[in-house]
Amino acid sequence: MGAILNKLSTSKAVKIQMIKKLVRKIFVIMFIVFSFILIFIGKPDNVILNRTSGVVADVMSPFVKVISYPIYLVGSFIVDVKNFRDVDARNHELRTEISKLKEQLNYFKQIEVENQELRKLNNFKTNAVNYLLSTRVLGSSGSGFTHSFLVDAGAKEGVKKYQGVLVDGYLVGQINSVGTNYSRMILISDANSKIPVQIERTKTRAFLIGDNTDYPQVVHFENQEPVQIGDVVVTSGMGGNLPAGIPVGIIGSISEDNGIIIQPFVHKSNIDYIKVIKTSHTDGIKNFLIETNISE
Amino acid sequence: MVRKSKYKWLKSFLSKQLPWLSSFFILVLSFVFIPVYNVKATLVLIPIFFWGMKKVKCFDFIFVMLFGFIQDFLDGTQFGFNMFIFLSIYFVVFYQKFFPLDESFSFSYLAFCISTLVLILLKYFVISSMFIENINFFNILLSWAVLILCYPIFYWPLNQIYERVVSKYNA
Repeated sequence: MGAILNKLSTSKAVKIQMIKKLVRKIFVIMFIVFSFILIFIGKPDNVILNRTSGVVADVMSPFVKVISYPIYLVGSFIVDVKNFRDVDARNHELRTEISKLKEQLNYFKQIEVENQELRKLNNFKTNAVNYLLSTRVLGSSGSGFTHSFLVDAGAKEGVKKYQGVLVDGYLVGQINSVGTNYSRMILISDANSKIPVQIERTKTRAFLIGDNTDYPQVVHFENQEPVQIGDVVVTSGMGGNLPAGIPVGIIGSISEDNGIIIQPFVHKSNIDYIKVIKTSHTDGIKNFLIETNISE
Repeated sequence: MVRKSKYKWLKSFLSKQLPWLSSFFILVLSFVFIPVYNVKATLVLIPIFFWGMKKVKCFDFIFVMLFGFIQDFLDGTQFGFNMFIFLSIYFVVFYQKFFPLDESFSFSYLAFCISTLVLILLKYFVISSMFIENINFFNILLSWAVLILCYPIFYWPLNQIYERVVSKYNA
């Protein structure tokens, strides 16, 4: 009797196990189907998705920061060792630069006062001023499908979606999603990037689009004015998200098959410390941050 | 005696947490920015494949989904794509009964190369035909090459975790 009961309970347990396995399998299949449907219904401009993206960046970035810290330390050490050799020459160079910049600053202050007076005389109302927020890149996208970076600054620091990102005064990308403390930027070479630009020489307006290679294309020209290899491409300021005149790159090749390809001024491997352009509609230049070299 | 039981409790605890923790670590590692190193790969596919192949029960598909969710948002690709890819590879590896994948490294390596190539190509064709037309195919292949080159590097520590901790306490 005991043996029969034991056998029955064992077969019941086996059955429960089998049902559990089957339910689990059905759940996995259901989630695969669900994620496949999500691909087609999840629009990239969805507000909820954008907010969630910011939250995920906020949660994940501290982990990326911790793990990347040793790499950052090693990198800094190598740079320090390299710099140590020519520290004297660099010191002299920096001192000269500081004195030059001080002269420039005085000159610009005078121009600013003059500018304000002229604006008052002409009742000129548009006072958009570009402040730069210095920060650094924390991590990059984990696949070959996108060219994006995690940025160590978020809404707390005043970062907003579509703000431009500069390295050494050249445009390298735009902010794509913003969390409280961290944000994500896409590079100009990312396939989702579309930036209104113009050819500096001819003032012809066009769009710069990325294709996940290192060399984005210039398309949709406003008119048929010929462009030449070596022409500088700058932002046009159309759309109001980016100021006009920020250099992006030079035209590297023109062909019927590949179109007009530009060579960016900054390669993505050189993006480490960045500056986010924060446009502020206030009067005059604040004392704490003066942007003078955007288009230099 | 007390110390021994404490140690056993810790090992038992770790055996349940280490599969997802190691996968999470590799996921975060794939986002770490190295200025000189340009090509990126979806490294988290390696632990997903590995734990699926070992049929570890504590590494549930919920973790796989969560990793896909995180990867989707941090990557900025079409939402749901990585979730679909991760769950598919997990499902195929976990539920297939035809090939004894975990018997030899070379066999599992070959299976990993083929399955990831198929899924990455699928991702490429769907993305390029439906969402973004101008994705560079060479970059995708390069990214896959980096992924398969990284497999042996991550296989060894994952296998050590499995043999020393997970398999003993989580059979």
